[in-house]
Amino acid sequence: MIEDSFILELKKVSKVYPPNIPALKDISFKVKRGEFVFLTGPSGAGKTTLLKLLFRAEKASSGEIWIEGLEVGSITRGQLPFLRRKIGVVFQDFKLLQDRTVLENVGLSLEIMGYGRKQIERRVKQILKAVGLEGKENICVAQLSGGEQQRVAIARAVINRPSILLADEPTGNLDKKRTKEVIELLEELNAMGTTIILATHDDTLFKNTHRRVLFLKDGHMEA
Amino acid sequence: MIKRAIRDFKANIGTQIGTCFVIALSVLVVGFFATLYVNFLNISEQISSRLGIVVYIKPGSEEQIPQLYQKLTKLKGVISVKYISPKIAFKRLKEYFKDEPQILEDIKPSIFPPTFEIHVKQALLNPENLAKLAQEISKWPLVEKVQYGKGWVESFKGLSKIVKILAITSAIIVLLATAFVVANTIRLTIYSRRNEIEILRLVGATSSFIQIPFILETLIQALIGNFIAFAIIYGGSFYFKTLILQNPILATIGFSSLPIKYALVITFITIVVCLMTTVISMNKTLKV
Repeated sequence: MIEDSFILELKKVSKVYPPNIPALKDISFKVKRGEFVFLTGPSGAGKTTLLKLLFRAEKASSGEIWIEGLEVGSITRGQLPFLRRKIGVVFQDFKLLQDRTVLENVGLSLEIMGYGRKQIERRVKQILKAVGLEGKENICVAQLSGGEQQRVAIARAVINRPSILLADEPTGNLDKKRTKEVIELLEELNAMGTTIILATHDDTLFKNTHRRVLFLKDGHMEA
Repeated sequence: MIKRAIRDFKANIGTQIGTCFVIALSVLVVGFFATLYVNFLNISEQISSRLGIVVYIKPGSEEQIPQLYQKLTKLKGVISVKYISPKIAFKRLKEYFKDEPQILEDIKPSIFPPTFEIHVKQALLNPENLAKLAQEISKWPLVEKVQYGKGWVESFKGLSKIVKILAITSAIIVLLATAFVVANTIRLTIYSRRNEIEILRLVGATSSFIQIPFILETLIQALIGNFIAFAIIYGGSFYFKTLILQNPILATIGFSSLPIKYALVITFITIVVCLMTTVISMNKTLKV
C-alpha cells in the first residue's frame, strides 16, 4: 500500500514491447501529494511510455504502480474509466475534437461523469477564464492557434479537478512566450493543490527551479 | 445520451440515411411476402369453406341418422355437418337441370342415398387432416362411401408448401442481409469516429457511455427504416385493394392488408436483429 503523503509510487516497473524490445527497466520512484515533478530525458528515453503506464493506456510488463491506493495493473476494465477520471492528461498532440467547440471539448470530462448542461457551461466558463480563453467557448477548436489549443487541452484535463495531472511535452509545439504562459498556468494549478508530472526534453523548463527532476535514459532512471 | 445520439446521427447523415434505406428495403421485402402469405391464407380459407367431405349412408339406415349426425359433429376439426335427405338431393338436381326437366322424368328421389356434407376447419392448410377424417368415417359400419376433393387438396398442399418456404426463406435471407449491412455501417461509423472514441476512453468514459449512443442510433435507423417500409406496404395495399374492388371477379376474392400484429412482430424482430448486430459489432471493433 502507498503511504498517505504519497499520491503515486512505482515499484520496479518495466515495460517490454514484443518481440523483446525493452522500453522501461526497473523504474521506482514516489511522488508526494501536491508535488510538481519534471520527467526528462532525450527522445526515445521512455517518458511517454512511462506516462502511458500511469493512466493505463498501456500495461506494465512487470512491477507495481500505485495511484491513490489503487494498483493500476490489477484494476479491471470496468474500473479503468474511474481511475482515468482521477488523472488529468495533457497530450503532446492535444487530442482534441477539431470539429467541436471549445465548450464541447472541455466539457467532455464532465459530460462523461453525468453533469448537466448548465453545470458544464458554468464550470467550462470558469476554467476557460483561468486558462486565459474567456469568451471562446463557442469557437470551433480548429479555428484556434496551437497555443490556444494546448490551453484547451489543459482546461479539459483539469476541469474535473483530478488529483494528479500528467503533461506530455505540453510546450512542445509552442513558442517561448506561449511556453512561459503554459508553465505559469501549471504552476498555478499546482499551487491550488494538483500534483503535476510534466514530461519534457526541454531542459530550460526546469533550469533554475527548485522542482524535483527525474531523468530517464534508455529506459533507465538515472539518479 | 439521446442528444449525443441525435447529434451523431446528424453528423453522419449520409451513412445513416443509407442504412435506414437498406433496413426499409429489407422490411419491405419481408412485408411483401408476409402480405402475400396472409392473402394466400385468406383465399385458402375461402376455398376451404366450400370444400368438404361428402358421406354416403347405406340405404335402410335412415333411423340412425340422428345418432350419426351427433357422432359427426363431435369429430375434431369439423365446423359444420349438414344432412342431405334423398328428397333434398333430388330437389337440388331438379334445380340444376331446370332447363332440361325431361332428363329426370323417370328418376325417383329414393334412388339417392342419404348423405352428410361436412365442412372441416382449414381443410386446405391441413390436407392430411381432411384425408385422415375421410378415412376414419369410411370405416364406420353405416357409411357406404366417403368423397372429398382429393385432387384439389393435393395440388393446394404443394402450393401451400411453396408459399410457406418462400415466405420463411425470404425472411431469413433478408434479415441476414440486414444484419450484415448494419454491422458494416457500425464498423464504418466506429472507424470514422475512432479518434473521438479514443479521446472518450482516455478522459474516462465508461463503455456504456461510448456504446449507448451507437445503440440509440441503430434504434433510430431501425424505427425510420420500418416506418418507411410500412408506409409503402400499407399505401400499396390500399391502392391494390381499390384496384381489386373495381374488378367484379377479383372483388369476390378480396384483398387483405398486412395485419398490424404482423407488422409489429416484423418491427420487433428487425429492431432485435439490428441491436444485436450493433452490440456484437461494437464489442468486436471496440474490444470492450
